[in-house]
Formats: sequence, structure tokens, C-alpha cells
Amino acid sequence: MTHSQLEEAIVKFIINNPLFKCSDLYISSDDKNGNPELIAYVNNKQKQCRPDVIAHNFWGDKFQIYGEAKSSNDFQSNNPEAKARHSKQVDVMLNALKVKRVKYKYLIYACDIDFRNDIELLINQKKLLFDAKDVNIIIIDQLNNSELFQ
Amino acid sequence: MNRELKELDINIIDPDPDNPRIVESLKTFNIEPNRENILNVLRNAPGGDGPGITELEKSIIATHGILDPIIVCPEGDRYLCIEGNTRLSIYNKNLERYPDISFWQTIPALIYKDIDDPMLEMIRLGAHFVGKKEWSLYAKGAYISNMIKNNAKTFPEIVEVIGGTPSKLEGLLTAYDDFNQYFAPLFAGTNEAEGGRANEKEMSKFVNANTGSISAALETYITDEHPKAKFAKWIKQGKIESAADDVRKIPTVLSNDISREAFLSDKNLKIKDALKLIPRDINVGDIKLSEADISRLADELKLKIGETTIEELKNLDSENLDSLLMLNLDLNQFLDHIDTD
Repeated sequence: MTHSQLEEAIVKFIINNPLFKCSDLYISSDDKNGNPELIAYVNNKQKQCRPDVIAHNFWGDKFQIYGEAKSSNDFQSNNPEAKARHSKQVDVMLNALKVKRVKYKYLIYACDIDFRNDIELLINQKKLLFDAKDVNIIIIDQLNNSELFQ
Repeated sequence: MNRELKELDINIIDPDPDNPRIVESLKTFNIEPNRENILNVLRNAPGGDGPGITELEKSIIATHGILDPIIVCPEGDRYLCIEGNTRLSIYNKNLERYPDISFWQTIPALIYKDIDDPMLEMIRLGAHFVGKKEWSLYAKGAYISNMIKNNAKTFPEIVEVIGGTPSKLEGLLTAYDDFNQYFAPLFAGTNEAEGGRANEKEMSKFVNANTGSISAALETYITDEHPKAKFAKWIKQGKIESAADDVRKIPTVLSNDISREAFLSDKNLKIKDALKLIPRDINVGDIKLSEADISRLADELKLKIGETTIEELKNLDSENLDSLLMLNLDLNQFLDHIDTD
């Protein structure tokens, strides 16, 4: 599964999900639109990353979503540099979501099944560390779901 | 004046070799000014103040053709394009790429017959110097917001027509919403003497406040009420005077404990004055520049630039300006290498 396919799966997941169905849905994928940098204060220091998918609505009960695709090429957990980069990405997205004044917050990861547990563990540890308890985590690993992956 | 509106076959329209957008390139690179070369150069010429060529192309596709006809005048059995050369080059490129699609074969054109040179110059001037009056930021926000709320168009459909990136339109729509939700109510029930109505020109401050580091600082450090409600009050109180110079100071002021505390507690303290309260490291004078670490140098440079107005930056002498530009280039190159995510 390539990074682009996983990124596209996040977009499809959001668009097809009844939770996020609304006429004012803003959705932008890095592959297609080149997303802007996301900046957050992590332990009082400015950090940044570029999420693969950004989505939110404008009116009513507001939600905010950041999505990240991790292919097996991206996620070489034995490589310390890659590990540090992924760790920083999670830090930034969680801290950005934590301070958002919206009703629902989601961090969505799409990954190969082999890395699901590693990714889930990393995110949950960070959630505890930053006390980001109102951030919902969704991990997409249904590689056989033809609605998401073709 | 003898005018006629017609759908013309694009193969019988020649681009204007005197188009100011390309004259210099043709001369500099010694390019023969034939039809094909001119159209090629036009496709790579800078867009001036208007949208880029990619945005224009996307918009033409989304609206199923150009909204304004190009202007041409007859030259024998062909036509010369006086106005709309870039649009002609887009049609030509797409016809080359998709020869079977009839959409790109003809273009709406206003044909000026019996036109003399002075009139031709007037048309060029009118088109490129006066142009159309763009809507204000507030008017654009209002129009788009109503379209989406009335289900006339979805957000992605509007992006396609307007061109550009979705994040640009997102910033505009969010700013329009913030303005109406948090700024306009501050003026409800007041008369002119008490401050009048919310000035729509202030919307540019809300647009700037939606950019990465500024919205992150507002969301992180304003905890007692909605950050944009607080931001709106600062504008009304005159604490944030300039959209360009003052709004960008917010992250520096809010991330420092001393300036933040002073700025948030004193309703008369302007952001530019709060910035001056940030203590400079008293030892910095004793450290050689070459021995200071990168974070200290970066913090100092950030403060220095924060204290400088856009006007002063524009008037920097060439040595200082070149140094800043080179630093920007070097940093971008360096950062590209260390983190592609």
C-alpha cells in the first residue's frame, strides 16, 4: 500500500462517513492541494508538521480532523530518525487538536496492518502525556475494504 | 464603434507580439516572435497581480469556458488578439493536448472592426490598468458563505471556480465567520459617537489571524474565553492597529510570560509596546555572535524583525535586504533536507 493510497483512503473515509457529511465540509489532502504547515506549541516550544489530510466544518457543531498516512516505507520503526519524526508529528497534531475550540476532534491514521499496534501504542502514550483526552483516535487498517482502497 | 461577439476558431487567432507581458522575454532570449513561440512564452510569463495561469486554467475548466470574451481585431483573414492573450494560450495548450475535445476549439471573442492604433492602446490600458473592481474581503466572504449555506455550491466546487488552494478560501471563510461572530456584536446597539458599526476593513486582521503560528498562539495562550473573541476585543480597543505589522507580533508577545501578562492585563497596552517588554538576555552583549547558539540567534532575529515595520523592511538598504533574502533561501534549502514531512 503506497502513501498516496493510504492518504486517499483517509479522504474517502471522511467523505463517506455520516459523522462528517455536511455541505460546509472543508477537506484538503497534501498530495492534491499541498497542505499548509500546522503549528502547535509543544511544551511551550513552537513545532510544526504538514498533515496529509486536514478537514473541518465551518458552522454548527464543529469538528476538526488531522489525518496522517503511514506506509511501510514511511514507518521504519527501527530507524531512529524516522521514529523521531513520527513522534514529532503526533506531538504537533495532538497539541494542535487539544487547544482547538471545537466540539469534536479526530486524529486519523491510515497504515499497513503490520504497524497498527506500534502506531496505536505511540498515539495513546502521547495522548496521556499531553492530557489530550478529548481527541478521538481512528486507525484505518481495513485494507480489504473496497470502499476505501481500490 | 463596430463590434461583434462571436465564437472564433482559435487557430485563426494570433497572439499579440507587442503584449507587454512577454516583449522583454522575447527580446532577452532572442526568441522569434511567431505564433507558437509567443503562446509558449505566455504560458510561462508571470501573472502580474492577477491569479496564476494554473488557477486561471482550473477556473476556465470549472466554468466551462471563459466568462469574459477576449478582444480581437481582424488582420486579413485572421484575427489579432488585443486582450486575453493568456486565455488564448490556455485554450491553445489544451487543444494541443486534447484535439478531439470541441470545448477548446473555439473561444468567445469580441471583434473590434475598423479599430485605429490610439483606440487599440486605450483598450489595452483599460483592460490591464483599470480592470474590474475586486470585491472587498468582507464581500467575498459574505457571498461565498451564503452560497454554501444556501446549498447553491459546495466548498470544493467554489475552489474549482476561483482557483488557488482550498486553504486560501478556508482562511477567508473562517475570517468572515469570526468577524460576524465575535467582532460585529461588539458594536451592536452603539451609535456613531460610541464607536459606530464594525468596520469591514478590519476583516484583513481576522484573515491574518488564521495563519499557522498566529492562530496556534491565540489558541494556546488565550484560555479564559474564545481566542477570536479576545482578538476581536483587542481590535476594538485599538491594541492591534495594523493587519500586517501588529498581527504578526502576536506569537512573539504571547509566548513570552512577561509580555503576555502585561498585554493581557492592560487594556491600553498596544501589541507593539508589549513587544518591547520582552527582556533581552543581559549576557547577550558578552557573547560573541559566533559563539551564540542557533536558538538564541533565531530568537534575537525574530525580535528584531518583530520590532521592524513592513515599511521599514521595504526600505532596508540592499545589503541588509540581500542578507535577509539569502538567509531565507539558505534556511529553506537546509530545512528541505532535514524534514520532508
